[in-house]
Amino acid sequence: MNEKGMAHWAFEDDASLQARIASDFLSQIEAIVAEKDWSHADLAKALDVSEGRVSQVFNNPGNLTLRSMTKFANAVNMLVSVVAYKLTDELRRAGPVGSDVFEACWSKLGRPLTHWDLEQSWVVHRRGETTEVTWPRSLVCLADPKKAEGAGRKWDIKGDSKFDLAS
Amino acid sequence: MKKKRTSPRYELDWVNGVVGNARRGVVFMTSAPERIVDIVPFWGTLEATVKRYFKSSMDTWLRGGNIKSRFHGWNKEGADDYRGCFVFKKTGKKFAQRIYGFLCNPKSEEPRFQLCVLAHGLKAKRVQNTDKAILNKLLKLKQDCDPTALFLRLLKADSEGREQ
Repeated sequence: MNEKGMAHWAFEDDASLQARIASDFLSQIEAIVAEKDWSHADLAKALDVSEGRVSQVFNNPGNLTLRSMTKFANAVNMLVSVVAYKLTDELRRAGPVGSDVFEACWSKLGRPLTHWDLEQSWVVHRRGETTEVTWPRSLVCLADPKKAEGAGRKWDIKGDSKFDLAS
Repeated sequence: MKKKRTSPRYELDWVNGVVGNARRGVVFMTSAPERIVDIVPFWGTLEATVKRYFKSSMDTWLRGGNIKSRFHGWNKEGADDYRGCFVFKKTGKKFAQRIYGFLCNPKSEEPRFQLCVLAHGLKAKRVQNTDKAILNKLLKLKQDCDPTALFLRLLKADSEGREQ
């Protein structure tokens, strides 16, 4: 077996891909359930189903329907968005992007609701003493139109930053 | 005539279709001539849905996710003796299936790279806590097998395979 040459297991067949997608979704629900310190019985109560049904879904998530997904999410005060994205050769090898990663990206961008919000958001990464800021194009244009081409680049700010907008 | 006892030979192999990244990897361990580690035969007995469940959990761990109900180490205070041991688990109605292993950092040029070496599989009653004997066995295995050398051998075999 050669890791570099092999395709990700999720692309073996339809059942594998469905299991991986459903499992990703349920792992987000499991994380919230753990955060709330809920048992499967608590979740079953919130869903108005039997505990057995909850266990059945968690143990074999491959058959999860969109209807069940919205119900599970709703029970823990979450929403579901179905995201389609381009399948590249890199993804064929690395596997689907986790739904938790998509959610983390959205949170990092300040939870934009529209395309315009997205344009005005910036990304802040903290790496040790350096804060790395990706400036929004609109802000760079305001500060100095000549620097407009610098938008989207990563700028380093040493020490404490006033731009702590990551949360 | 007394049978001569040979020291076990360990090998690592990738988990089919589970792809690591620059920060983390997952492998199965095998041993010969004795079956000191049993993960591969145990894996062979699992149903397809259970394998997919474990592989999904491995993917989550590989990308830095954290779901304690599916996988965890022993990093809590008071569990220092078992630091480095790791388990992936699937809890059913009556039984829980667990895959045990240990974590190591086998790349000297990339010390943050973490490898999860899976060695032992177990199906037991759901409520049963981990038997400390299993964790002790894993720690001894980690000490005895030189995971860094085994991983380098796996990478070498990989690169030779690509050249052929």
